[in-house]
Amino acid sequence: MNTTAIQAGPRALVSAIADFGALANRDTDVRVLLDRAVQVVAANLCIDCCHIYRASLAMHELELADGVGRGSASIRCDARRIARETLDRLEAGITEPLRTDTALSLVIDGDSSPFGILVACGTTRRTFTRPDEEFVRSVVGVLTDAIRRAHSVRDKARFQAVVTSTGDAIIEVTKEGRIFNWNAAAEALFERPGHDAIGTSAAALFPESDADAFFPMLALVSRGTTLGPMEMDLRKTGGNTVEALLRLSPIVLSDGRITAVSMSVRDLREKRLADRALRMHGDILENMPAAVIVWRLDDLEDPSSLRLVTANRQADAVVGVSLGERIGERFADVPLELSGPDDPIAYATVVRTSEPIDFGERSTGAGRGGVRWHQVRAFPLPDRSVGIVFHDVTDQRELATQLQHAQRLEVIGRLAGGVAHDFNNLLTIINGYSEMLRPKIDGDASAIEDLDEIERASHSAHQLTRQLLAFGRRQVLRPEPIDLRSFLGSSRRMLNRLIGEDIELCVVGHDPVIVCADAGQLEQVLLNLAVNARDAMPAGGKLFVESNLVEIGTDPVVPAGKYGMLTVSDTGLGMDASTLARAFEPFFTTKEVGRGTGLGLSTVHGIVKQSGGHITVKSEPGEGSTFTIYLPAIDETVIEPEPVTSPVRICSMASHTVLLVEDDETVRFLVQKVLNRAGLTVLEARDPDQAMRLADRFTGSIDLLITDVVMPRQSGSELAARLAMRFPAIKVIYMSGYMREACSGHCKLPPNAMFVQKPFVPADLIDGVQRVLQAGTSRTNRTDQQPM
Amino acid sequence: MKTISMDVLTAAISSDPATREHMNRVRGYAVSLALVLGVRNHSLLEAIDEAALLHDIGKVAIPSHILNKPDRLTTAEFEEMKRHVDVGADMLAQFSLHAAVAPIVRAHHENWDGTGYLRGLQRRTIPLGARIVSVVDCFDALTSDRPYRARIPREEALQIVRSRQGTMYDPAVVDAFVRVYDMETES
Repeated sequence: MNTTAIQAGPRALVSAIADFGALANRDTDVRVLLDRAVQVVAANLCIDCCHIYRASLAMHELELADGVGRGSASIRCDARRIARETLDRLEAGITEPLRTDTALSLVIDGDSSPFGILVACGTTRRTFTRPDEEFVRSVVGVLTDAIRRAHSVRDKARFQAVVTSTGDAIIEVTKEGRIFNWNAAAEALFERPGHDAIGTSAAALFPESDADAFFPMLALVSRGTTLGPMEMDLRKTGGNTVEALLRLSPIVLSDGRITAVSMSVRDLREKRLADRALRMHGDILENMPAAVIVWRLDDLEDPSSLRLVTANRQADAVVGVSLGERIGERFADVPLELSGPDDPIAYATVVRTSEPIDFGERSTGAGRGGVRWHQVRAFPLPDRSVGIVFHDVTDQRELATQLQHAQRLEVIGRLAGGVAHDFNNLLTIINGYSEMLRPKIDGDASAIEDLDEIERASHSAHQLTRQLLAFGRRQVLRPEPIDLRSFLGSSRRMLNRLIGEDIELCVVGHDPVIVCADAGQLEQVLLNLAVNARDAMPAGGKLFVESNLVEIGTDPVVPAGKYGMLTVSDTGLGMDASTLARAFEPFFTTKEVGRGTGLGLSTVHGIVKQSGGHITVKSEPGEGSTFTIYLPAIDETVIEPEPVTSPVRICSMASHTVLLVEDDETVRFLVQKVLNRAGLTVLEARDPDQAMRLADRFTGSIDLLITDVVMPRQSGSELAARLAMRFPAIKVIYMSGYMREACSGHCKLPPNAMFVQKPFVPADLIDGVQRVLQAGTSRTNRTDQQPM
Repeated sequence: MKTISMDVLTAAISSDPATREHMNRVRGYAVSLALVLGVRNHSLLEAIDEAALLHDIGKVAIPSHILNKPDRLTTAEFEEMKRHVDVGADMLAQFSLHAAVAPIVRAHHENWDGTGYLRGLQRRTIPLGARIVSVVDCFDALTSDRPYRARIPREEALQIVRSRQGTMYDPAVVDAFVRVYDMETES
């Protein structure tokens, strides 16, 4: 306790206040002033302690900011209690000083809210006189002024910092339209320094073409209206225009007066670029060959909070909903017609983990024009969103299935073709020896009967191998230009006979359509399809056969181009999906045992394929079947076949020499025997090399080459070409069970070549030899003979 | 003098400062739209400003049981309600300094396609100010609480405005409005 202290007199108090005020006027820091204030109060009022608390009304808190004084903890405790009481009074709206018999407490006003509380207190009772109170009031007044000044300086600095650092040009304009302030962004945007711009008319910021825009705006804003945001063209110093976003607002003082106008200008160039990029993204989204749907997960923990953000047009088709009208709706409220993936939980997982999920291929949209298949993938996007991409793979899958099917047919075809080839060699031998046996058993009726049976069986076997070869695309085709329309016309009678009276035949040929095909094989195709149709219509019906010229654009089965289209449709039983899938497989038949070989449609398929064409079939149970054949159309005219040549004159062949080349020993042996019997001289070779050696050594002339088409190392036609150099007049007959490379065109026969199809009977061979040797120049000639 | 009358009227329409602020925003929107659409005539801009603020002044003549009815108005009530257009226009014709204000107020319920009231005007026969005010007013009404419904989110209100483009509202005005709205939302 400071009992010796003497309270200062009124004059001293005035002097102390003056000093304190002078200190504050020197822009002394507020903290220094607080420190000084407590000292001044304590010393001049001669009390034990003076504290200043920072007060927070909102928090109802006090915090000791500064204080002086000696004494026990109890006095500090008293000071805080009194400060608290003052705060309570303040909250109750009482701003008068609090006086007790030991203390005086005043509120220190701040800028907009109270700054704190000053408490002066002692341990002894005393009366605070009016001058005492005035003195403390004055100290507090000086503090309040200083605090307000400091705040205003800080606010101004803060405001200045914001104005300086913002990216928008901020221009203060007087009500008369003069530029008063011009920030850094304005300098950059208008390419004009502040010292140059300030003081000039803001109307110059508008292009000359829009010179009268500014003053009406200024007038409106000066009246209190806030304008914008508005897109307008403004003018840089150099005269270039800048696309800008403009806002104008009045600067209003606390008493309501409008002193000036603030104009903020944002450069829209970057936004324009961003907009363009955004539009581009939008265009890409709309034009990409996939459906995209974007969901946003509003609540990370709740998959049902997924909302539709956007979707492209393609998505509408996938989900069967017009999604553009559903933006913002919840997942559960959007009626997605998806039979496949619509799994909000999985989508939510993508958002949470930021990991994409691949759903693989899913079937979608069942019940809307058939099932479609989509490759589905969900990927994370910014802003808690997930994008779902549906890539349509239906056609791909369809093609894969077709390819698989085609490959299967191809493999079976190869097998069948291979077997048939060996079989044909065997049948040639059986036929050959049977025929050679016939004269030897002349008169033995029973033996002749037996031989007939052998030949009949051999013939049946040959029919089978022919079909197998056709299916395996291993037969030799003689393509020629054919007009499908006239071809159908001439086939009408055959068809009528075939299908019987219960079935009505309707043949339509629209325009002449020229295709390149083997007429005999095409007839076989038509015949097989007609038989198939007839068997599908046991109770009668209609058979439509139609030819047409079509142009195919994009099609999963048929490559683009012009085609002669041949359609055969019936009104019969039709096929179910599983039968349809196997329709072209050999030995697959739905007919009762003994009625069909299961080779009819296989043959059709093989012939069409080997002819470079395509075949499709449509059928539904009870709805009949439609087979459509596409053969490449050509720009040629049909050559009318020449009249049948006059009968062959028999002539002696004894003087002629034949070079026989055949790798199958038994066949070679048989042929050699047949030729020898006819009196020909036969040179035998098992392959082209041996044949060349023989020919080199042979001193006479070789008149005829009879050769297999396909042989090791060299083809028959190559051998023929080499021999022709030595023997220019040499004639050639080709023999074959099939053409291995018939499809690839690897060893095509010369157009006019004579060809003998195995199996053949000796008489046919001799007939062929005679024709060739007699003909001056051998023309195209078919001896696609069949054993009888 | 005009300013005083405006302030008095503003106060008459609403004493609530929040509502007044809202109304001022509507005015700002209307004038900004006019500026974006190329209006530079000072007195027309002021007329649009005033009309945007006072277009519903005629509602003072409509009984409050109709004004504040939470249910759908009957045909008779609706006919009564329609009167506010002419009442307001007549009032403003008397004391507004701008001759353009009354025609704007009179036409602010007309539709671009001619289906509005009171005269069934069409397209450009409707004053531009009225075409602007009807869009702004609709957006304003949708985004404010009404006796018969709560306010609608701004994004949805914008969709509604868009959906009426070319039928109720001038397509050019809606375009400008959407642009101004987008800009405001972004910044």
